[in-house]
Amino acid sequence: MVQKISLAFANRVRLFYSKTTSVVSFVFEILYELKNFFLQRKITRLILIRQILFTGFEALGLISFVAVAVGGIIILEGSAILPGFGQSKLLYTILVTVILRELGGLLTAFIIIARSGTAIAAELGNMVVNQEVESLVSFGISPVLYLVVPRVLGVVLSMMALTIYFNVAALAGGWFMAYLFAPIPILDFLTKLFSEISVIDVISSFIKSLFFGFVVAVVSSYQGLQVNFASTEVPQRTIKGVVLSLSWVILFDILLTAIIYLV
Amino acid sequence: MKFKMRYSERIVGTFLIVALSIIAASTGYLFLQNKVFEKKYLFKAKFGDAVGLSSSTSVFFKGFKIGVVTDFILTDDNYILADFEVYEEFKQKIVSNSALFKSINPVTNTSTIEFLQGPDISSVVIEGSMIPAIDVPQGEALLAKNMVKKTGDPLNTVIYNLAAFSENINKDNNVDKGAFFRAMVNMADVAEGLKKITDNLNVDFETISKPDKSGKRPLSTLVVNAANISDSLRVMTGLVNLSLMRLDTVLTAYSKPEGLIVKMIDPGGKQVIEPIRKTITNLNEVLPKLEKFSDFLVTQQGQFLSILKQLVETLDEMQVTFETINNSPFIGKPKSERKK
Repeated sequence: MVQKISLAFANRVRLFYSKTTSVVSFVFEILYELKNFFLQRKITRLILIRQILFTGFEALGLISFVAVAVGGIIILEGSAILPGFGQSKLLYTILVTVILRELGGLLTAFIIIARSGTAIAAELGNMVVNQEVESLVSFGISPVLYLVVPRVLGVVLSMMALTIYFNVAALAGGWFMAYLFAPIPILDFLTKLFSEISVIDVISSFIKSLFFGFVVAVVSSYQGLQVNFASTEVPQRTIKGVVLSLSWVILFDILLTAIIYLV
Repeated sequence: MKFKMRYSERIVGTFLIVALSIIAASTGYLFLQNKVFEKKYLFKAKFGDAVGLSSSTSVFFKGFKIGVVTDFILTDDNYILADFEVYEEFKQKIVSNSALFKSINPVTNTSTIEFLQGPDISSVVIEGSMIPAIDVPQGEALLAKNMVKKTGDPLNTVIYNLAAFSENINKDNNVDKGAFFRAMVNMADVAEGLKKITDNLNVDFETISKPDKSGKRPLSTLVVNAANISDSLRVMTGLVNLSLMRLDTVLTAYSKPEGLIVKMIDPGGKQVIEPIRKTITNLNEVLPKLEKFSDFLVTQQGQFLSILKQLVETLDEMQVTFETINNSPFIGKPKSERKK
């Protein structure tokens, strides 16, 4: 009995070790191939641009809608509670804290995971099933350089841009809702808003978006390329990619918040 | 879709450039707003405490942000020594006999600092000079001499006045004045006294409940202690009732310790909430002990009755014996004084 448990535990440890080394080597390979990407950018440039188009530009409508709604809801809830104890001015603080520091990056990441993370994992998985990845290798083309790096760069840049748009749209939504309650000129609103924003808030939002984009792209690409031969593996890997992306994004969010605001 | 594919480069380029422009513009505006590139002059400040103080607390003068606190430490004499930077355009406002007023928002516990300018606006002080807050002796002296006038937003002024009022009613330099704090202390003392009595009571009862080496219970101790304790309890209960009556109005006002007014007057909870809590805790501790006392009396009632009956019988017998002795012709009184 003890022997069986020990054996199972040893197998678990071995599996964890092999998976970790596999992921870490995959990340290092991507970072290494980034250099080659910039040297041979003509080949993969189109993939990068299309990735930004699909991941970033096409998600702009959805992101803007969610952002305006969230900004409006925060002002709506705040207006209902804060004036009760004479703290209406905290509305701006709450809006900035919730949107810039946390929700902007997180909600954008969630939308990108749902739209593009799944697409990347499924697309790469199907390419493995159709032996397109094998063909690339047989031609001497690195699949990481040709398939993964443009996607990673595309998602990172899209995430960065979408987070900025999300923040702007959410603050605009907040102003719109505030305007409905008590008409306030946009310049006054912006002045009060900017008095609550610190440079560290903007930088933190920017850094978080870059990290989240990298995590989502790497996890989705890795899961896509982990498909072996059966088409039934594709949805399984896609689901796994979504779950892992969500988990890692939240973990990185906690880590980055702790580093930026507490250290 | 064809349009998007055809102009994908332009669309993506615009998409990224607009986003980067927004972040560049907002960062640039924030740098300008925070006067990051402007020359600053460093001054020292002394505060009574660091509540609500942070390394980015702004310093205001007449509604203008004139500087920001950059660092603060606790000194050996338990004051807070802070560094604060003043922007170049406001450097001339820092004159001698100026002070600082730190007001704390009771809800967020964050503070803003108001610069209170001295009377002589021409005597500009040099960089590195010390500006005391009005909660340290130097600042209090400036305020007392009317060198500075406490200003600020109306809410902060109200809070400041309420805090001063609270501090005054809680000061108990003269017990005859019957200050609020004295009432609270009395209440706490009474509750503590009650607790001590019940503690002694229980020790006595435990001792009495155990038979001594000869197998007898120390009846006399019980009777004497019970009488003393009964008297003490009666006095203490009266005091508790009296204190409770006196405090009734105050407790009604403070019935919601989470309320804003209480937060404003007593943000730390040490002046009002803590004595009330202490009193209630002591009374709570006393209640089970009184219950134990009551239970003891109930269980011992039979024994008490038996002992009293024996005592009465003994006294009757003793009376007969004494009468016999008294009437004895050998050892009693002279015949003329004997009982007829």
